[in-house]
Amino acid sequence: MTTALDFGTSTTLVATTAAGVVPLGTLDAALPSIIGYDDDGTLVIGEPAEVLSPTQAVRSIKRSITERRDFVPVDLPAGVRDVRVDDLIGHLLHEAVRRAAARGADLTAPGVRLGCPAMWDGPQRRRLLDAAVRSGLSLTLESLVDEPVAAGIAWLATNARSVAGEAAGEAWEAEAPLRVVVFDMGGGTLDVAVLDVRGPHHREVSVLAALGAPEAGDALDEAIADDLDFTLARYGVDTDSLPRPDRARELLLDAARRVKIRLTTEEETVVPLHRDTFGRVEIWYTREQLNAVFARQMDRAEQYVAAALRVARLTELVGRSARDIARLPLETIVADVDLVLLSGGMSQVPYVAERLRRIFPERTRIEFAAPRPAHAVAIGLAHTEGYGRLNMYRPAFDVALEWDDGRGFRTIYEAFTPLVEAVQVARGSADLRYVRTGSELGLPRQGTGVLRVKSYSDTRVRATVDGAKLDGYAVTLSDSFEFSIYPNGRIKIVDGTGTHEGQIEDWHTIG
Amino acid sequence: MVRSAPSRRAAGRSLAKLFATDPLAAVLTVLREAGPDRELRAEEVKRALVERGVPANRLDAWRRVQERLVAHERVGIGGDRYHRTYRWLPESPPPTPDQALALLAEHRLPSQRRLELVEVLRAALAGGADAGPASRPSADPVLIAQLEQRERDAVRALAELAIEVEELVTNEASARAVVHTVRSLTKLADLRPIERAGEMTRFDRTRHTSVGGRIADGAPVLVLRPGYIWNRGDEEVLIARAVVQDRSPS
Repeated sequence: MTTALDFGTSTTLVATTAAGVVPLGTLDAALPSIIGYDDDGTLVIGEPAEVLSPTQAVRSIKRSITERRDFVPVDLPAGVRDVRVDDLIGHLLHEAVRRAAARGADLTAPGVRLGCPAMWDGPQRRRLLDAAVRSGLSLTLESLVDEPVAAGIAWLATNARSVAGEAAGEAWEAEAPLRVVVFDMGGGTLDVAVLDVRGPHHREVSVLAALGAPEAGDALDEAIADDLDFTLARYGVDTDSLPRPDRARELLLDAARRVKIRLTTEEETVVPLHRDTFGRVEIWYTREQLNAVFARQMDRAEQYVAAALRVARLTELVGRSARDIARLPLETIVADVDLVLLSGGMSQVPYVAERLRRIFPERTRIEFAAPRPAHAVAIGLAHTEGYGRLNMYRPAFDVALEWDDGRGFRTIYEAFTPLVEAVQVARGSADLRYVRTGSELGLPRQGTGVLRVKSYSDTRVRATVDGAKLDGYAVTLSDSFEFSIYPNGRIKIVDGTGTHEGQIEDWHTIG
Repeated sequence: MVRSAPSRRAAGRSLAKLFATDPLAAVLTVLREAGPDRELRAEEVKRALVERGVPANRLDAWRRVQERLVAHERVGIGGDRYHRTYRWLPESPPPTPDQALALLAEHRLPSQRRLELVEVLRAALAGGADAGPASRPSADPVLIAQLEQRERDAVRALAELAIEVEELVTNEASARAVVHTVRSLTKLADLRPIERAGEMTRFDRTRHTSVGGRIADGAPVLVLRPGYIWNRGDEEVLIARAVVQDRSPS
């Protein structure tokens, strides 16, 4: 049985393979990912932190890792101080460990899985890992699972039987992977990943691309609040001329959040407006109006989907240049998508599926990753046992060069570094690859060295150069030393003896 | 299995009859009889059906059967796109109480399957109680936490309804706004209203109850209070009948 921890931007969840989600919160199944200090300077975590003033509490602490911030300002009794982000995350995770233990789920046992955004690189993953280990979790880098991979596995766990026969209709081939787009729109971030999923026979999930943007639910709340403000103006209520416009705005934001949730199941709803603030005015808000204010955000989201699909195409690069891929029309890049999985609370807004339906072909299924989309990552993490996981966009292995019998050492590719940036694809750059030269790395200009490979995933790396294993491959150092990995798994080494070609063999050729 | 010719013919006739009314059941019979060790291709299944008396021109039902076969819990799918095979799966062991709870908590299952899983849980709980304190296994804390969570979810749903209604009434919202809000919150709890207060309708004893004396089916009635049906997966549970009053012309 696997126990899993989904440390989310807004909430933290624990799940086990056998039991599903283990309730952690005092009211909800999730522990709010909020931490702060009360008036006495006592550390407060989860629900009790919700009542702290905004300056005393830190919400969305996970985002600090994404933004590479080391400190956050917190109002302490001694005044506002910068507090280490990693310490706060450690405390939060420790609270999850403690609460889970009280409910019978042991997060300190070996084999625990922890989710992380697929867009995080090595240093970001190590930060989370270190904080988690300090909190008592028994983890290594191999224990970290990309969140969209978990969402894909959650869907497989629920639909394993139907995958075999229905996922791609008559076109299903037991040996062929499904091309899956995971659209994870949460409270504060949008993550789009493109996966190849092989199951239930092969049980393998490969990440072909993963992009993220710090824009999701809270941006929509603001947009709805703005629209309500305009609507009130039509009823003769000018919020700027009210005695306390700031308080009026708070109420409008509160109304916006509730309207958004209500319209996931209703075509129209009454806007809960405070009579003493706005007067006796009854406004009805429709799903059509919500869609109109959501449209621009979904336009941008669609661009992320398109960019992720273009990056994914780089893994195939058969007979096409990167520039060709950047110029492919949208209908071409969406054509081979079998399944779109919706994850995260915001994905429940019907307009999300409606918009995605418009850009994907009719045969593409659009489904929630789990019956409760907000639980998808936790459920998927708990079912990762037995699945091979491969991140082709940010490979989970280091490549290092040793020389002078190990006295000289450089990491020439650090695990989870993206092989290309989405912006390079968008610009139609012709030379899309990860490349490091000897001079950039400060390598000696002569002598010999040996390449070493260290994997951080459950999947062993099988890579060869000139027919020999990459791990242990000898190179002749020179002025022109160059090491490249291409998105389709091709390896190119230029050393003192010439150019040597290789391939990461597990990266199946797609297309 | 070795059959004598007459019994084989009799079985064939009954299989052909079964295929005429329930093609899936007939195909499942073929697979079951082949046993869990034998994978059959579509043409082998069809040949077996024809041999057992199913007219070849009726085999166009296969396509519909095939769609349902792949989703059948006792059928294993193998082969590839062009040579898909079907195999009768041996009965899997019953789920453990933990697995049963996880299935109930995370999936919408057919009512029959839910009842089976509830039985597993009930047996586990009863086993613990019957065995007495000395031999009773310690209660599963995850299970307890999940049951408590369900209780909290239910109570919170009620509280949220009360909160919304009080807010609307305080802000002097219209009756339309109050009713709409109540109905949208009850919908979130998978509750479906029966009728609307103040409306006239025809008496239906399965959905209505009289506030007073007996009412004849189909008689005009005024709805005093709506009722509610709980959509529990694919099952409908009548929570409360709508309360009505007879408005037949006297």
